[in-house]
Amino acid sequence: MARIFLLFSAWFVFAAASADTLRVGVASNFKTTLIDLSTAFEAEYSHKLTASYASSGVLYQQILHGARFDLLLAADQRYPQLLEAKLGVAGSRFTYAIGGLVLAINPALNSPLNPDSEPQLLLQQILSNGKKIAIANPDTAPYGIAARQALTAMGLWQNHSSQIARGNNVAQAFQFVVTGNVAAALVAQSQALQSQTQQFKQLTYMTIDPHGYQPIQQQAILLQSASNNKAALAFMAFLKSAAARDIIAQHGYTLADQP
Amino acid sequence: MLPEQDIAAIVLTIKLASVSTMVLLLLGTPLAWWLARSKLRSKPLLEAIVALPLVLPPTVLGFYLLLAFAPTSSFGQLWLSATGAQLAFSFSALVIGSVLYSLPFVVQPLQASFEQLPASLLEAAATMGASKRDQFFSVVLPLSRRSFITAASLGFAHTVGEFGVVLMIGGNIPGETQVLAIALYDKVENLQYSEAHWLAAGLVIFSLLLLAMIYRFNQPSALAMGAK
Repeated sequence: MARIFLLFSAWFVFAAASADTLRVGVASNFKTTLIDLSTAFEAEYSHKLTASYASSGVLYQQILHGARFDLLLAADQRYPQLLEAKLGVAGSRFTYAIGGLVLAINPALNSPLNPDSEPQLLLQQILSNGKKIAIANPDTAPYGIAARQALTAMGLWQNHSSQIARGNNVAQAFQFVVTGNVAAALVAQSQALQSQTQQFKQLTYMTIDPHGYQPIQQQAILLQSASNNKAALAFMAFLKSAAARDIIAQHGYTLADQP
Repeated sequence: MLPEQDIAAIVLTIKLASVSTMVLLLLGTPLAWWLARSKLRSKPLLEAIVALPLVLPPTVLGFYLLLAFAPTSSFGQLWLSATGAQLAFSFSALVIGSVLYSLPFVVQPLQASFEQLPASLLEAAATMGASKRDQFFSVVLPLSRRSFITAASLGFAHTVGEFGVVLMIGGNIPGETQVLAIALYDKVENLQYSEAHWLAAGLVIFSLLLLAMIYRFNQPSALAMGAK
């Protein structure tokens, strides 16, 4: 950990030397979206964007301990809220994307599978057969917290918690179902969309009823050190633009009303 | 002081380290013996394989084990048909991972000790009619006692200190695969610093005491030399 931190610090010192560079800490689940956003942003403005991807919690810790990010794109509201009281610019916090949960099923482990079945019934079947499912960490990861809420609402959490493998983040939960280590996983809608263009076409997806969990409001916040950074301010404005909102929606997120 | 889930993590960690150490001693002793005595030309390659976990990042082992443990893989299927239970994210999976990960810590001290045993002692025992089994229990074991304790302690401590492999193959299930190192990682990420301190400081003290005991034990003290 210390070595990673040193590497990061060295990189920041280096990055700080060039002007109009924007350093963004980004929640891992938003990575592919941010790459597209960054391409569009750099084409429109003359600024350069560099991103570090980690879980929101890790990024938050790094910021508290001196990592020089200009803004944080977190996977929930919690860390931006905490930052607002400390190192963030008050009032800059806003929801840039709203995530939803889907059930990803590995058909290789679930034959026969009735595609017309409700996600709740399928999960019930999988769990009563003694198989395992995966979610993101229900204590730390936003999609894990939502997954626990959804499973609790379905009445499955209480009796089957020993069958629920917890990925460190939603990407790992997804990886568990892709590799066939679990029969199904509750993952992010954006991952399902993204995977259909990649090699994981064999998975089946079903939307989870959004009434069963609190919407995953991914929030961004500007950090005080960047309150005069033109590139950072431009990117905050860009995130709210129609062009950026289109890109975000294409990646499987819903959007809050225009701020 | 500590919530129930943390107690469960501590108990699980001790259980995992104990079971893994037992398995390691059972498998590692014959392996170390064979390595110490073998004259095969392929021996360096086998020694290198045993030492691999020392140099490889745990993620390499974690990655391959993740693929191997899936019920869709041939190993995963074999396990499922043999035991009736799925291997992925089970306690058994962690034991297999830990045994592979801590293998060099057990095999290397034993091998070094076996290599230093004078062959004449075993020959003498054999002339006096001692079977191979007798030779092992009455000659090898007493003479290598220190190395066995070192090997067992290092195997145990290294398994307690395991993180990367468990992170990749464990699935963080409380009471089943959520070990201390993982519970601690979650606490830090969740900003529960005071609970993190309990676990982290506990691990530091435990590991320090264990290592100090090994070094103390391996020190040729005046008393021990006098006793000889």
